[in-house]
Amino acid sequence: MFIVIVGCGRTGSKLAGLLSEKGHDVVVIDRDTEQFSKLPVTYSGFKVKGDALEQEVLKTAKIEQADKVVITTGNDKVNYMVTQIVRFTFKVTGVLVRVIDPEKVKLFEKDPAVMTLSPLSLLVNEFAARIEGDEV
Amino acid sequence: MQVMLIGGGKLIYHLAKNLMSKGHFVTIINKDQEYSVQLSRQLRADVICGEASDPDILEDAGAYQTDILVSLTQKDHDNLFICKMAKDYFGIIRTTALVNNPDNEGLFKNLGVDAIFNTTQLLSSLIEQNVAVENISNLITLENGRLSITQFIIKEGAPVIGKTLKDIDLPLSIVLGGIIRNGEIVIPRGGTEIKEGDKILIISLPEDQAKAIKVLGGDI
Repeated sequence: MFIVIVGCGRTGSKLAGLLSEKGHDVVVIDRDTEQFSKLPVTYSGFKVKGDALEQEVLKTAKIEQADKVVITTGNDKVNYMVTQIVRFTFKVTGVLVRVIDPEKVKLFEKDPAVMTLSPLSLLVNEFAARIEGDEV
Repeated sequence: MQVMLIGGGKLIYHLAKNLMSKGHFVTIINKDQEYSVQLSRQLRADVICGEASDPDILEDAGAYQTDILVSLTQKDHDNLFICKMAKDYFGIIRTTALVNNPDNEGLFKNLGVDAIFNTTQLLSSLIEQNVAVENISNLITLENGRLSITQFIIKEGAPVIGKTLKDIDLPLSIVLGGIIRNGEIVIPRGGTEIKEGDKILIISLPEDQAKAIKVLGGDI
């Protein structure tokens, strides 16, 4: 699969390394080249430096050909806008996006082609499940 | 009307003052605490200090009672997010945003932001408007140039001659106010045919004026 990852922070870089190791074609985008140093040595994909809010940058990453786009920047508003550009301008049908504030998930999920993951919700649900599991 | 303004700087200050002098109720949301204090001293508007993309802040600022939300920050992603949230979470009917990067204009429109102000384009069209073209005369502008009334004369050979108004692909933001034909006033309707020598009064936003003139056969 051809996968574009927007944001090369802790999440983005780890995911990129993992997917690259499994043999997928990966491109990571980040504004800051220093972030690329977080990628593991085994990473064999491409790195694109630039602001993912600019369509030119997304074009450079060949995003319109992506099977999946993963958006993991640390700003929900940036994530939202990148999601919309990827969906409307580049017509990508598989978008996964990290949403930091669970209250904002609703806004993203109006589009069925967008799947959201909220670390906070995952954590809360997991804790709750463990606690309830103990009670049984 | 209840208007919510988001952002800072001179623009917000003057806009708020202007709107209030016309009897609108204005609430401002600004991130910077110092500037918020300053605004609340200078204006009688409600000033809320906080992140406008936070639904709790929007609710505190009275989003459920707001008729129009205007997002004027320097960041397009903030403006887009705030407008979408205003619509989807609080049912605000009209949202207006500043678009800083012209590439994003289509996206904002697609996503249902009602009015878009593209600063780059706006400035150039205002300048363009002031450059005289022979068969166009700018009669008046209202509200510091936010609405303009222009007279356009249909010249010989214009492609729209003989067409009815409903057949002409006029942008929706443009109203034809009247047609002066041989000194008589014709009130334009869908079935009105355009003739050579017609003087057409165009009421439009300055940024759309050029579009209207183009459709009617002007060369801009």
